[in-house]
Amino acid sequence: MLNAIAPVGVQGVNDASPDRYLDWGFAYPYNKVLTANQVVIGDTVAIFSEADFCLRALVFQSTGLFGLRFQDGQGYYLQSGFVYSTNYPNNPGDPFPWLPQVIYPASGRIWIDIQDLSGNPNTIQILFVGANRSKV
Amino acid sequence: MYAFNAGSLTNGSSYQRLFIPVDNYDFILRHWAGWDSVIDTPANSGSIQAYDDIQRNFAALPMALGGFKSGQVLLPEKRYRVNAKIQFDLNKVLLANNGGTAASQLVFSGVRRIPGQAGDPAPSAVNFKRVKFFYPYTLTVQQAPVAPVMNSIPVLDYEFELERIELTPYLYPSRFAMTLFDSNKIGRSNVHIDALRICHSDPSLSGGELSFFPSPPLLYRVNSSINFETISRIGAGGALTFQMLFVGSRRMPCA
Repeated sequence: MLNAIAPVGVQGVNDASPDRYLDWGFAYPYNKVLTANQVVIGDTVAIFSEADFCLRALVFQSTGLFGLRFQDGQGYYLQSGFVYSTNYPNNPGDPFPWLPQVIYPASGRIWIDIQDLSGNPNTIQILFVGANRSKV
Repeated sequence: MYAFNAGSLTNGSSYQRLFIPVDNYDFILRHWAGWDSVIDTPANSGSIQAYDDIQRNFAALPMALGGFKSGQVLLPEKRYRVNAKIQFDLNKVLLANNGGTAASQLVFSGVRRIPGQAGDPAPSAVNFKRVKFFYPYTLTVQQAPVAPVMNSIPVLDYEFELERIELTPYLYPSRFAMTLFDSNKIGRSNVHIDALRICHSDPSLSGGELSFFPSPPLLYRVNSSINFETISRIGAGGALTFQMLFVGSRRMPCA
């Protein structure tokens, strides 16, 4: 019998790492301060060399509206255009799920295009939440 | 639950490698919360970093989680071996308080892994069916400082699986903290846990704290009692009365 209102993750989820790999929870924050209406194309978050990164959810904090698009580990955009930040729930307790997961290779990067839509200086942190995948 | 009371920290300061010792048994961490009561908002440079039991950080850089009242499920779950530490860094502390009484706490929730013991909820000796059941309780909390108060609800007639504790009214920050004891009178947290982190409030009325404790449910045997010790966090304004509802299921023996 489980706690009926609790999320599955709180109940306990079996390790789903692929054979001969170990997934361990990790997140890559992306910090940016945009000036009013600034557009930045091709900012990057570097993936550590120690493990591949599996992106599974998105959380952000900002002081205003912004637009976002970013690429997968092979350089393909995951959105056809800028997506308003309000279309992503900005709550770590209810993150925007990204399934199926997107895998970024070790030493790779998350390529990000971002645009301020607030018309004011905008302090932003986007948290790419997921797991590091190490060989064992 | 393992919690860190941040009341002794100073607003505006940053702290590295604060920790909670993991005692007695391995601990499986599945959920963490409490940033809103401990660190400043991202706009003011508040952030947090945490570490697993072999010192791997949770994120590549400190996370700007200040201001969020909800907690976060950690997937995959993290295992802390016995005698390890739950470590974290706090950047730009901003404590929640209630009339001068600190109500600032980081809470790490999960399960203990005890060799040779059945997990919660404990098994019964007979076949049973579950029937929803509630134990209401009226709690009055005096203004601090007062001594801790032990509260007790007798469990009568049938075994009872506690699934959650509802609390009204919703008041932020927590006006009391509590330790819940199981059927064997063993506390289920290392310190008293802020009420909003152990009790569940109506999501439409709360700030989104959404505690899911106890998960998995806890079994109370017939003729035992639901014991919980409360301490006041009320700094001003006098005593307050809360309605608590211990929600769960009775185990009714059947063929």
